[in-house]
Amino acid sequence: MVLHLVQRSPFQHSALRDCLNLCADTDAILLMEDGVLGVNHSDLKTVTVPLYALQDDLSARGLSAPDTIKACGYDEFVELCGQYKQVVSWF
Amino acid sequence: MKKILVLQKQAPYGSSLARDGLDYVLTSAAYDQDISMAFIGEGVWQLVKSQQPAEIKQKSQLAALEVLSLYDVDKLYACHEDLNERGLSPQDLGVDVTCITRAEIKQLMVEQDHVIGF
Repeated sequence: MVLHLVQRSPFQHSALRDCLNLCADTDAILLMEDGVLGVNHSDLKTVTVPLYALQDDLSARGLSAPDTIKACGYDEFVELCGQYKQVVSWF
Repeated sequence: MKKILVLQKQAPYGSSLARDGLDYVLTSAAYDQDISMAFIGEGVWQLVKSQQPAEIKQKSQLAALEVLSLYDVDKLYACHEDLNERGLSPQDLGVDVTCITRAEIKQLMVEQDHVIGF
């Protein structure tokens, strides 16, 4: 039950790949900061765990989340942090 | 006492993160926490033997890792797949670590109170 926070672009950094390597079926992934640049990354197409992206970080970069990723605000982000047993940042 | 897993994800010397992770481990050990360390991704480079960072004016990460046993930190793990990807084998490593698979690291994470990455 880990909430993974991916904070770097997958095109520049291994953060997303490292996260996916250790992501279990009961986990969730939230993209934030430059992590949101990966919303359409091919590695996320086959992921079966819940995916989230911070709306403010998407909007700031002129991006929107595809149907497979739920855009969320800070309130929901905080709720998610409480919902999962551990929170791990990937940067 | 909390069970804490520290994920070492970055290579040494290019940034301060590897050192920061080590400082965190030593501090937590001083407070008698149950610490494990897992070297994953680029973090496995921290384990390579015969590091000579004096030439680039840095302190040896390997030498620092070697003293962890004095602080009763002896649960050190390295990711088997990440070593393989980088052409490293257990003989290339200068610290006594247990090589485990990604699946085993996932299991290790489940058993912790906290997981912290550097």
